[in-house]
Amino acid sequence: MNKEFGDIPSERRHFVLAAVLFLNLVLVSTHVVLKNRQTLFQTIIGFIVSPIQVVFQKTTDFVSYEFKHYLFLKDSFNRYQEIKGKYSRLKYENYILKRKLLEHGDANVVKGLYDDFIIVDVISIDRNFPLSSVMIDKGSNDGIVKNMIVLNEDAELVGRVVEPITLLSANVRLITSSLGGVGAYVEKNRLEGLITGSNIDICSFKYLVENKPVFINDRVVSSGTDEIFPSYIPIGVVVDIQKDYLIQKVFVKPFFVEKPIKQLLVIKKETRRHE
Amino acid sequence: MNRSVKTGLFILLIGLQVLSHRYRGMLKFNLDLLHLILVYIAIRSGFMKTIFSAMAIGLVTDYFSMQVMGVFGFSRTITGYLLNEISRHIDLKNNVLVFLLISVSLCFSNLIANLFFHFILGFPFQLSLILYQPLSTGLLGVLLIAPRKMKQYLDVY
Repeated sequence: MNKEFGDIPSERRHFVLAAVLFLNLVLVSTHVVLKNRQTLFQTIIGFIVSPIQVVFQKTTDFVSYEFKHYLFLKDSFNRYQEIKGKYSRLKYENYILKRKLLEHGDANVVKGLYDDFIIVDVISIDRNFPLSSVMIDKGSNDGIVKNMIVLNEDAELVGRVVEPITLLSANVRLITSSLGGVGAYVEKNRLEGLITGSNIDICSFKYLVENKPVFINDRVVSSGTDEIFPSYIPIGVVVDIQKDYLIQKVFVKPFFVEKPIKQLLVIKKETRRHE
Repeated sequence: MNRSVKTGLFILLIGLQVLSHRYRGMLKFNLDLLHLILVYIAIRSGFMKTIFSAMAIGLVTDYFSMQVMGVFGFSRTITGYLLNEISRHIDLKNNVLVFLLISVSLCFSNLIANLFFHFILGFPFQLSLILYQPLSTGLLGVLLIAPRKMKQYLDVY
């Protein structure tokens, strides 16, 4: 016999044989249809590939999620601030409209009025009397002047600007301060009086006659009679009533004490020129 | 001369196999003529040529049989390898041994293929495939190679 030997090293023969046999098995597997109507080959490939696919999918989902929620958080934060500003503006406009409707019965007259305010941040609070006064990060440089009205983000009364006012900061006296007061009335029956604070989270209504009933949870708004605060700004709700001779003591919890006062709105004085 | 005889014989075997496939419904016998070519290649050639020829012959057989590609490719590859290894130790002048070599190798190869068909397609074990075809093919192989002149032409003496 004239046989050709040694065309491949003997140690590699088994490898080549195994490879050729494996190739044949792969071919067979492409023709075997299983119960799931897929070929054996497809099922095997799916079995091998699907974990990789799942891992890849999970990884890309995770990375895109992280990118979306953390890396681009700056944009989200800016957007949040923008929406927050719009929200505050809307609340404020809402308050103005309500007030004008109450006064004139016509919302059209408020166009162009009360359309601007300054958003400020609180930079310090009086440590000894936290409900007396706060300092804001805008001053005369930004147009802040004495007696400007200060509201919270929900357009509820917080206080007014008082001295000292510097170039870059100003002081805000809160309505809960023991100094000063706010002309106000009970919204439901228009019972009017003066609200004063005592450096705690409850204000008291003074000079309320006893003849008109007041109830717990009645809303209290500013009346504008003090010539400082404009009328119809939400102040708080009645939390306690004590009857006395001819008068009644009504205790009011301001809205702002239960909300963060990190950011406030200062109403620009010139926008109230028509008053 | 030898080469042209070999080529002519191979073409004849392939042609007959194609014809037998075409008229297999009418024929009572069932021969695997391609296996004779595989046996010859395994005896005469080296490892690589045998393996790849066996695979190619197996795939052609697949095409002519159940058309589940790879089944005969697998079985013929193993058979080709075994033939290539065993034929070194066999005296091919002895026609009985040649008959046994062809028959047993085809029986073994068809048995493997039948196992695949049984487990993949639920195909029953067929005596014609495992027994009759190897015997008839072995007989034909011996008849072809029996004349001394043919042995010279095919260079298998």
